[in-house]
Amino acid sequence: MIFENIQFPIQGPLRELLLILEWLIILLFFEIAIVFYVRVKKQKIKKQPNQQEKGYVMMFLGYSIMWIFCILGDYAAESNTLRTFFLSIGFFTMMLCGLVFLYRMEKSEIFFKRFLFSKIFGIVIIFIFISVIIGIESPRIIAFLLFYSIFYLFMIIYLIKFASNPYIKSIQKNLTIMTLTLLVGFTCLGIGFFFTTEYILNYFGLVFRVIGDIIQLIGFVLISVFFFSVPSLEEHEWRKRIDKLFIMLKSGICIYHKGFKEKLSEIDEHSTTGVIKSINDILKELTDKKGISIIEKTHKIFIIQPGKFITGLLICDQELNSLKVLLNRLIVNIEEIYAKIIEGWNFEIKIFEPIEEMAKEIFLF
Amino acid sequence: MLINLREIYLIGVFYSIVIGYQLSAYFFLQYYRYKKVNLSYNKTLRIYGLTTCILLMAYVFQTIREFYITKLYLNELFLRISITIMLIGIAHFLFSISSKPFTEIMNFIPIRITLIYVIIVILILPFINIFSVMFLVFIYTGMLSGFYVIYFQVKLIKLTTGKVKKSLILFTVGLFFALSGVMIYNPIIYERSEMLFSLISIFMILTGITIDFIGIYNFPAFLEFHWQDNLLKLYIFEKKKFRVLYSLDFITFDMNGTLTNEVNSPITKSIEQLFSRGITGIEQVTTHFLNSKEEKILKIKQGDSYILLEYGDPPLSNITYGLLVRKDMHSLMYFLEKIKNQFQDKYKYLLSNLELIEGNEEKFFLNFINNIKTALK
Repeated sequence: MIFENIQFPIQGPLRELLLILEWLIILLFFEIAIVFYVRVKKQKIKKQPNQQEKGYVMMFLGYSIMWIFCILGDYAAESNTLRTFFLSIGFFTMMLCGLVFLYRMEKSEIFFKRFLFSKIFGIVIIFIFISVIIGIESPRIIAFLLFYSIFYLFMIIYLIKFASNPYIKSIQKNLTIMTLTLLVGFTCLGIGFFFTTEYILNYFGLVFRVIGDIIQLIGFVLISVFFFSVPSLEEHEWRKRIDKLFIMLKSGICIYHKGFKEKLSEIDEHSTTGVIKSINDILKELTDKKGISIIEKTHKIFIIQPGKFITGLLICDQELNSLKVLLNRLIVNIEEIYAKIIEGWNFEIKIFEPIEEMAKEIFLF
Repeated sequence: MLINLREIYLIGVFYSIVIGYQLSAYFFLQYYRYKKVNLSYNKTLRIYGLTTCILLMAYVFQTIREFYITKLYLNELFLRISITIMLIGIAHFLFSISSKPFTEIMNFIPIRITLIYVIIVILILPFINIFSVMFLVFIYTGMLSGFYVIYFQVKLIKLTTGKVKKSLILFTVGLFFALSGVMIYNPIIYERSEMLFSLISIFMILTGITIDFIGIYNFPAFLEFHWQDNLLKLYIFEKKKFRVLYSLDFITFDMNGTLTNEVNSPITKSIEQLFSRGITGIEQVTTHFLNSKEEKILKIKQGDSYILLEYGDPPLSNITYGLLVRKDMHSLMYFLEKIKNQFQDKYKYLLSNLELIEGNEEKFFLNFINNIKTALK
């Protein structure tokens, strides 16, 4: 069925329903941006805040702002020029926010080549901007297709990387389903938004705009389900937060050490001997409790994880669950292999050299 | 520009319903998240969740009536349904706060009398046909219940301290705004709802709900009630000589009388020594590890206990304040900070001349117990 061209501003019985749905989209995406913003603000490490969360703030905020301009253009602007003006501001805001999103994501992790997607995206924005300036009409569809295809490709790569994170893998149930949830969520946003464009409305009428809005709301639900189910994005950057790792026997002798940010000095190696054992003993005595000890200093965190035969010490910038899980896993792995060796150890330190490989596998260095 | 006031108003109403239901869902989420902890005051979350949910249902009926119902008899029916639901919400709230554990902080007899009155109003309301009488009954009931809501909040605020207190005050301010907005919005007051009043009311409701969200977001203040129960031990010591200046065992501490712990027993002494030496030692070792300037330890977690630490302000930075607690709470951190400030303030002349009182610390600092008692209230 082919309808007559839709007249703007949108009028008729569906106007109120569409306004409610579209303002709801604005509210929900604005709220999710606020949630991420609060998370960023609450981060203890101000020097190196989580770039991914900052990126998501921009993306969701951009989507919300874009819809405000779309509403102004489609429902309030009484001339076509004014409508185009509002829509253009909306799309450029979204594209700029999308660019910041990609930049933040690529700052936090390398995807193929450093800032590859940000560069491509930047070029696309310049291309669209020029096309608008020289008067090519309605760059909306081109902008939308280019934006979405680059963004979608990036999201696929991002999610593959996300699903291969060892910490996420170890604690997240149904990881594949969750990853797909986010992908489907973004797909819904794309399709839903496409249904609200003038090209679709001219062919299929305003009902498709209602359907498009509903699909976007479904997309929002799926995206929210993903973000509220997976561990905080702060946990994804655990590699950046590790400073030093020490593994010691219960007697206090250090059998393995690694400096992640800088090479350990000899003082470091010697000072570990016996010290961690003493700390653990003191704390046990003071609190009457066994188990993991966490010492929070102004800028560093000491995680002391006692095992059956060995104790692990991780010095890091932030107290992350991922680090506790990974340290515990390393201790369990070492003890599984070395349990009998430790019992009758002949002080030959070389026997512990393979721990390096085990640590590499877990801490990915 | 084609801007319709009705549409702005409608969006405002719709936003307040959506945010309101989100607030209600958030209350339930927090309630179920902490249900296992079995805190008696966790029930507050459920009460707020359900009351908000019921009141919003009334609001939905009211919105449908105002925007989409044109037939007179249906309009009246929706109005009556809306008011009845609102009164049920009020009754639920009154019933909940007049039961355990709130009977400890509120006098439940007047609340129950009000509850009976509200139930009677719910039962007779369908039979009142005179508009002005219905209006008076509703306004009186609403104001009476509003008084209890604020009174309940004030009582809860008194149970808290520091940041938690601020959060609850913010929540109460939000609640006050939202309830005032609902009262203004009421079509009984403005039979033919004036657009200006409607817009003001929506603005107030939205502001109120938003303030409430800010007040409680990611901060389950209700879990901090009875923070005092999580105190274990307090140590105030001097770092250089590992001298414990003051210590208190909260497990054996009696608020009304004297200390029941034996402050001079050899076991207590040795634990105090261990604490001061241990904490100072851990601080030195960890600083050494970092090859950096002296960095202070803020908190130590061991198993499921915590040691919270505060340090004296210069020139009294050689004094460390350690608090052994069961849970890591904002209120406990605030309590420790308060203890530090009061100790420094009260004994500033002694603390800068500690060598003069060596061996007599207990006698000099014994009266600090009064400050602790006050800080615990």
